[in-house]
Order: sequence, then C-alpha cells, then structure tokens
Amino acid sequence: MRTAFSLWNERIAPVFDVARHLWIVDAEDGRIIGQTGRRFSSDDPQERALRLTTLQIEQLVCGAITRSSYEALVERGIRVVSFIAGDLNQVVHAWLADRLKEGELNMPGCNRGKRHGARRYPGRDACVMTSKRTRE
Amino acid sequence: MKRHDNHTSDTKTTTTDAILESISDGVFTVDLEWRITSFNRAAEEITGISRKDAIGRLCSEVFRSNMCQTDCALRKTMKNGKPIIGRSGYIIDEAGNRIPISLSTAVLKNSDGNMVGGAETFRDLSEVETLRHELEARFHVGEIVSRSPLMQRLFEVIPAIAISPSTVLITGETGTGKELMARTIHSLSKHSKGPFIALNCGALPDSLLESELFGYKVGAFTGATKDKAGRFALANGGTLFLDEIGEISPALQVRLLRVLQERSFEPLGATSSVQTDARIIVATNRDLTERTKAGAFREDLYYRINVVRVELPPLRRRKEDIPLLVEQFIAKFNRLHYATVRGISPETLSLLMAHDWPGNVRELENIIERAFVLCPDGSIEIRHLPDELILHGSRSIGPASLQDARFQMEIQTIQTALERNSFNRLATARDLGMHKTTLFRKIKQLGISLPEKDGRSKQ
Repeated sequence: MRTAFSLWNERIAPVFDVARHLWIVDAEDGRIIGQTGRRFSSDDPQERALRLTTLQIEQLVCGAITRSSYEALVERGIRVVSFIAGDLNQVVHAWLADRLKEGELNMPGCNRGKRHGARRYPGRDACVMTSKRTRE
Repeated sequence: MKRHDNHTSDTKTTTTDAILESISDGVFTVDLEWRITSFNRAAEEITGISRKDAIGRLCSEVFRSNMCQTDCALRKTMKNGKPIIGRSGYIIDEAGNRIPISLSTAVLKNSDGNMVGGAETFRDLSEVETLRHELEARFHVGEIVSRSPLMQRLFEVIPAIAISPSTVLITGETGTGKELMARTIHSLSKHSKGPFIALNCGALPDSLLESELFGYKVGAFTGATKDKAGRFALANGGTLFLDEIGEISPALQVRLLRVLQERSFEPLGATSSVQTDARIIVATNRDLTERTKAGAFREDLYYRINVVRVELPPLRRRKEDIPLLVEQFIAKFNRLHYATVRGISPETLSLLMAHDWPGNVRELENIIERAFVLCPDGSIEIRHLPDELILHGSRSIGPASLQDARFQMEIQTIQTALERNSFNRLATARDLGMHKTTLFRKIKQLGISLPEKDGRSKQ
C-alpha cells in the first residue's frame, strides 16, 4: 500500500490544506519497501487531490483538514486518516503497526468520548473526518 | 513585608486570570519551545479544545491555523519583538469547518526583561463573515452582480418570476446580459434540473429556423434522411431561450403563437402534435411596441410573450456597478488566463466611469480581456485601454468640455438619487442636500426625463 504523510518540520503538518511537503511510504506485510519525498505546488483542494492521485497514493495520513479538501480526496478514492499529530517516524511506525486508530497520536481535542470537550461542547463530534475506505 | 508582596502578587495573578476568563477573545500563551502554557475559556470555546488537552501541546497542533506552517504571526513577533494586530486567517475545528478569525500577537517577558514566550489573542469572525455574506448576497442573483437601485429592484422580483410558469420577455440593449438573465431565471426555476436551450432567432434564415425550432420527420423534405428533434423538443422539462425574437418572420410568428397558446407543436412532416412543457423566455433589443405599431410584429404574439417583462438597464444608467463588474472580470480572467492582475488603477477606473458604454457590459468585459493581453500582472493602467476609449475619455475630461462633464455628472447623480428614492422628488432633494425647487430647476435644465408614475403616485 502506498501512503502519503503530510510533512512539516519532521512532524505531521498541523494543517493539510497548506502543507507543502509529502512523505510517501510503500509498505508490504507491515514492512517499508520504499519511501520518498514530494512537494505540493498548489493550495487548491482539487489540484492537491489530483496530485495525490497522480502519485498513486491510496491513503493519506495528515493533521487537520478542511471539509472541502477531505471531500476532494475521498471523491478520488483516497482514504484519509486525519487529525493525527506527532513526529514523522513515530507516526509511520504506528501506522505500520496499525496503531493509529488507538488515538494516542490524535490531535488535541480528538480523543473520542474521553475528552473534556465532548461533554463541554456536546454538539461537536470529535474528529469525524477520520474516514472509512471509500474505494473498494 | 515579604508576606505582603506575595499577597499582592497573588492578587494580581488572580485578577489577571479573572479578566482572561471573562473576555470573549481567545487567549493562549506559549513558551520558547512553542508549547502552550495557558489557554483561556474563550479559546476553549472557539477551538472546541479543552484547556486540559491544550496545555503542554505544540501551539500549531492545537490552534491549527492556515498561518501556522508558512506565515506564523507569533514567530515573527518573537523574532523582531513587534506585535501584530488584527491579522486575518482561519482555524480548522475537529469537524473540518473553517472558522474565520483575526489574531494579534505579543511577546511575553519576565521581570528581568528577558523573553520567555509569546501570547496570541484571537477573535471568532464567523458571525461577521455570515453577515458579510448576507450583505454580498443582496448584490447577487445567480451570476448577476449589481449594486444599482435599478437592478436591486429587479433582483427582488426575479425569484418570484423564476418560480412562475409564465413566459418572460427580457428587453435591453445589446450586451446588457439578456442571456445571463435568462440563465439565472432558469437556474432559480423548478425547471432548473432540465436543459437550458438557447437559440438566436436572428442568426438563421426563416426556413432553417423553423426546422431548428420544431424539428422534422424523415422524408419531410429532400435530404431529411432521419428524424431531427427541434429545440422545443430538446428543451422539454427545461427552458427554451429565444433571443432576438423581434427578427422572426410573420409566418413563423403565427406558428410560435400557436405553440405558446396550445403548448404543442408539429415537427415538419409530422402528422400529429407533440406536447411541450418547456418554459419559454424570449429576448429582444428592439422596441416591440414600435414594431407592433409598424406591423412588423404580430400584436397577438406580442401580448402572448409580454406576460412578465424584465427590462435590463444599459450600463450607462448603472455606472456605480462598473467597479464591481471590473473586479468580477479581473477575477474571471485571472482564472482563465492564469494571470495575476491585482486590480485597476484609480485613473483607469475614472476613465471607464466617464465612458458611455454603447456596447454595455459585454463591451466592458472585452476591454478588460484586452487589457489582460497587454498586462498579465500588476495593475491595469490607462495605456492598456484601447485608443478610442482614451481619446474619448481625454476629450470628455478636457478643458473644452468641462461644462459638459459637469452636466453629465449632475445628470448621473440626480438620476441615481431619483431611482434610489423611487422617483419621489422631495425625498431625492433631501437625499442630495438641496432644496426641492433647486432640484426641479435642475431636472428641467438638464432635461432629465421622469416616469409618469413617481414616488407620490398611489399604487
């Protein structure tokens, strides 16, 4: 599977919509078989989604993402795991071990059901943008 | 004494905390490692992140603003010590919504004057943005933009016209946007999911126009080797827009009248009628009343199409829209031509305001497109305009015609004020800050025509 991690200062970029760098990892059976860096040249959600499609990315791991960017990616069949924060190596290893869903590397305010905010702001559903796979 | 100092310091901290908790602006502070050290109640509410979750985390991962990675205001402030006030941007909440904000920054120093971190205050602009959008929406209907009182009056009735099934007659000089208005009516109507079919009746000879409108059956004439659906059939379930309706021949006028009355037509060579539910919108730049009087246009057809009439004013009567239209065309051509034109210089805009615009909005659009060829970036200047506009402009602003220019300006101002006040002369005089008798004198002197109905007339 080819996965892209949006990158800033050796960490997952806090906002995908304005992130300029991608770290692309190819993995098979839980092992990395290749990795490389790429750049974005546009902030337009459609053009960024097209760029990921051209790079044959199947999954994106990123920080905060706006709904328009998220929808542009999902429309192109890219699975999005958003609102992730942390050091790149740490996130890549958690992803390889399928531990991203455990929530340890979620951005602040995104611990489902546990957070103070979930009670304080009951209208908000924490991190609803962690998508399911849409292209089968 | 020491105990007293401690007590004073504790009181100060408590007071500061109380103030920070009570204000509606979000406030957070960071240390030199960019980790959050305090996060007030308003910051919790705006970001949706609790203080407990925020403290100790990197500010970029809590605040999640479009500025964090490339253009961090706090980083700049901590570098040069200068505060930034009122920078606009957005943050992303956990549902992926953009929350528009304005933020300000400051450096935090300890009692020795050493920098120990930074503070950022931010304000939720969602309500302001919503109000701004609502205000902008008043100047938009579909793709049509206008701030002119004349167009505002049209904007108020367009939604009602769009949902009625009646035939619409759009009149206006060439280039005033008749087809755009027809498309807007279509997009707001219940037929909006159906097709919008446009046909320029003046562009085709009569025989071709007939087969284009109604279609034909195989064998209807030599060369009719298969059935062809006409525009009426194609527009079924949608809207048929017939431009330059004033140009069609008397024979075709009779056929058209029948379709409008019966809602059915016969393709050439067919033996049975076909029903249509297409909404009909027609347009002309001719004076159909005159043409009816002259016998060139059938009176019964005129009354049949003149059910709802939309009159588009020429650009010279809504010059206040020129800056808005120029802005819209610049944005459009920047997108189309991959250009980076920032705007138009004030002198160039003044020249555009002084022009009469016989070709209306289309002429203005063409002039901006031409300027893009000569000026792909920067600002549109007078040298990027066509010669005829510059020569005309320089004539009109030259000393020889100063009085003309003043008269033109007075006519324009009085006309706009009259329209704004529904032609009520007393209200107009008050609006312009002059006595009513002065206004009456000016109207007479400048030859400004007034409608038969004015603001005093009973509805």
